[in-house]
Amino acid sequence: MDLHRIYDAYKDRARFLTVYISEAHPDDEWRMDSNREESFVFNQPRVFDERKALAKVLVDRLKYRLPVAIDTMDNRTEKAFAAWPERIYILGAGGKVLYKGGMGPFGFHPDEAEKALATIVPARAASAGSGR
Amino acid sequence: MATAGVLVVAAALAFTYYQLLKAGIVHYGRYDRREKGSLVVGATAPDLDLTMYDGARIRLSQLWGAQPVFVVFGSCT
Repeated sequence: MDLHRIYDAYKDRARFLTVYISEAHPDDEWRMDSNREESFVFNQPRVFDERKALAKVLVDRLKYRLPVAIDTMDNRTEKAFAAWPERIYILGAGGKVLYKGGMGPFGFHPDEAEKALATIVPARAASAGSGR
Repeated sequence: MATAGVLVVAAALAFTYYQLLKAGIVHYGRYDRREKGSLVVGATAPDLDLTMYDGARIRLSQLWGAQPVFVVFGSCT
């Protein structure tokens, strides 16, 4: 998975966080045949423990290794970041937005985010080095 | 002649409706919560608190600092 590759390549130079948000295609809302074919048939969580259980599916079944946080049931983080159904950001010091990825699913491009991260990380390493 | 015209238009409408239905737009459009959002590059992200998978509490500001933070939003489905 692209995200695992990026995580492994940069985890010593960047922090990583996944925010588990509301389902994109739960069975009781915008149902997708592709999810049914892969047995990803879940209803939209109504309480936090249900959402946490789906995060567990991500971690256990999809062997997801990035640190995972779970959004509140009022979808506060998802809304603040216009993150549904999926999106990538890179945040700098003080929470400054350095990169905002496109709206998923069609604008969700981990490779593009990786290129942005690559331009951010060396610049920081160089400035840290020049101080010595 | 007029009947044929009506039939062609009806067929075109039916085909369009079928395509929209197949794409999930007719039936599922109300579940589409995609939005561009006002948080743009250069803006300051809100400092929100979250619960980690292991139950620990975290504020986003605990992460951003010397190193950039790569944040991925998503779900299983």
